[in-house]
Amino acid sequence: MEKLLQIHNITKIFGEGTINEKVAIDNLSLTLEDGDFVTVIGNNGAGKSTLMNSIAGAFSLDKGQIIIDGEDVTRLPEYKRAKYIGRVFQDPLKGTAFDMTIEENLAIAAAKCKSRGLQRGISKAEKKEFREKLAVLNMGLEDKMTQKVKLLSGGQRQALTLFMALIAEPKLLLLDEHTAALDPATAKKVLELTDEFAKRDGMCTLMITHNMHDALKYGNRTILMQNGKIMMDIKGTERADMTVEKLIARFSIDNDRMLL
Amino acid sequence: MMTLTALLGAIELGTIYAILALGVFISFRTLNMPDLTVDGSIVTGMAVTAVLCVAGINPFITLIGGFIGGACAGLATGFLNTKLKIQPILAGILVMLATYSINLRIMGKTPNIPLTKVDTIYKVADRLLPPKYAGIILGAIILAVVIILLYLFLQTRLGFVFRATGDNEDMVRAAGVSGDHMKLLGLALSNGLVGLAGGMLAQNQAFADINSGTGMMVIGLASVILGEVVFGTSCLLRRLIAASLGAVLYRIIISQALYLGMGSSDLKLVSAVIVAMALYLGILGERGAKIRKKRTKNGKAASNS
Repeated sequence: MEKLLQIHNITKIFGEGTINEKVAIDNLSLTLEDGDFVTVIGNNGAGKSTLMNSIAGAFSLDKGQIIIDGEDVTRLPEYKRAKYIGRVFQDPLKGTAFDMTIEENLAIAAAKCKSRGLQRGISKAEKKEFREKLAVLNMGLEDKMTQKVKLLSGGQRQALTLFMALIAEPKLLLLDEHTAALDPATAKKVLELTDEFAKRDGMCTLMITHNMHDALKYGNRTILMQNGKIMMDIKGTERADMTVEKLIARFSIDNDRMLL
Repeated sequence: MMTLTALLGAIELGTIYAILALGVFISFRTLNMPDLTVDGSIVTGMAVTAVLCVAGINPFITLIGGFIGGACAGLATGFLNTKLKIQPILAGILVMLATYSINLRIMGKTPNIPLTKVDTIYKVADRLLPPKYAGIILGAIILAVVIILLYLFLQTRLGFVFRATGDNEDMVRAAGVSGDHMKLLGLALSNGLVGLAGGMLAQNQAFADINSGTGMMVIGLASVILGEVVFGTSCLLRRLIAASLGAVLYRIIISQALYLGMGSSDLKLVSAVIVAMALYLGILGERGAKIRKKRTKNGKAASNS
């Protein structure tokens, strides 16, 4: 069977040849099976976000190859890879157009794989459909469809961004600490929604988190990154037996945030 | 207060500057990009229109030429900005400089083309309508068509992502659209409208002059901000109309200043002062809204307890 995401020996060096040279990703390979929900942990500077950006195509790689759904996307610009990928960032401001309404934002996200010409931006049927679908979030957003996104709270925005990332049914969902900027209760809610959507739609999910409990609780596979390499890749019973304490003992994790 | 004739003249000019203001609105507000190409592209519009008018082409058709001329200047700025990664302001300044030479070439190396002896849209209007109001009616019709088309465009699927580009380019890319393409489109559209305004201006004043572009971007900006402060920004259509009315208001203020005895050589200073005031009032407006909001909140809290 075709693997959804294949990453072969990629390397990314920032500032090559300068005194600030930093090998962010070091000859890394990773393959995701269909339906995998992988949580990614690691210290600051381990290369987690760089890995996400490499997959999304935010910059060109120094070495290696990335294949999504059978297509070699290594040289494809970010916006052309977007048809495969849904993305949510840590910063709630990054996922939405703040000066446009909720339904306009949704319409932009929903038209991802359609042609964008002079057809109506949003039809009546779409308005109704978005309203009904948004009700699933249970955040009251369905009653604010014509409100500008800048009036929403961080949690509402992040839930909306998650929803937008999923509306065009991507094959791969990339989540970069998408709950880190939210208060604990909202973070939990957004995480649970994430889990629910990931199970429902059955796409591949890659989620960076700083919370090791969450990393082991959600998904079916966990990888730990250090210095641009994958140091641990566990699933199944090995993962079920893993605890936060064992992880700390094994990898001398020095990041207080990860223990919370 | 100035005479009625002066007022009508100001409104007539205002309908032309309104189209300039809409062009600046697109680059400045929708793309969130200060674009200085305007000072060059407006003359490109004038030059192309004037040359075509002199060649005996229907004066209404020549306006399309003005639009295309301006759009090309905008595309050049877009190219410098997106492909060569030059900062938007610098890219605009470079193209503004380059268009000076190009505009001269278009005009056949003369700095001034008179249109007194050829047919213009305003002469056509004078024949068909009561001459006192002909210019205003014609300008208002063209302006209305531009506003409606622009509004309809911004409501399309393409228009939606276009509007999102200035807000959040990351999101646009994530939605599978190249932000660079949107910028190229926006700068072409913006400067196309500016070129159209230039074409109308040349026909209105019955000449095209190589030096008439100086400060046009500032005038457009002044109109946009003045419109926002006075007429509000609640929805998209309102913002388009506000920018247009801002331009009319701006022209009225200028002609009042002239009436009060200010020399026409001082007008650039007046423009700069109006922009500075409008920008300040805009910020003040935001702060004012915040204070009002706070007050009502406190009021509610007090009444609840």
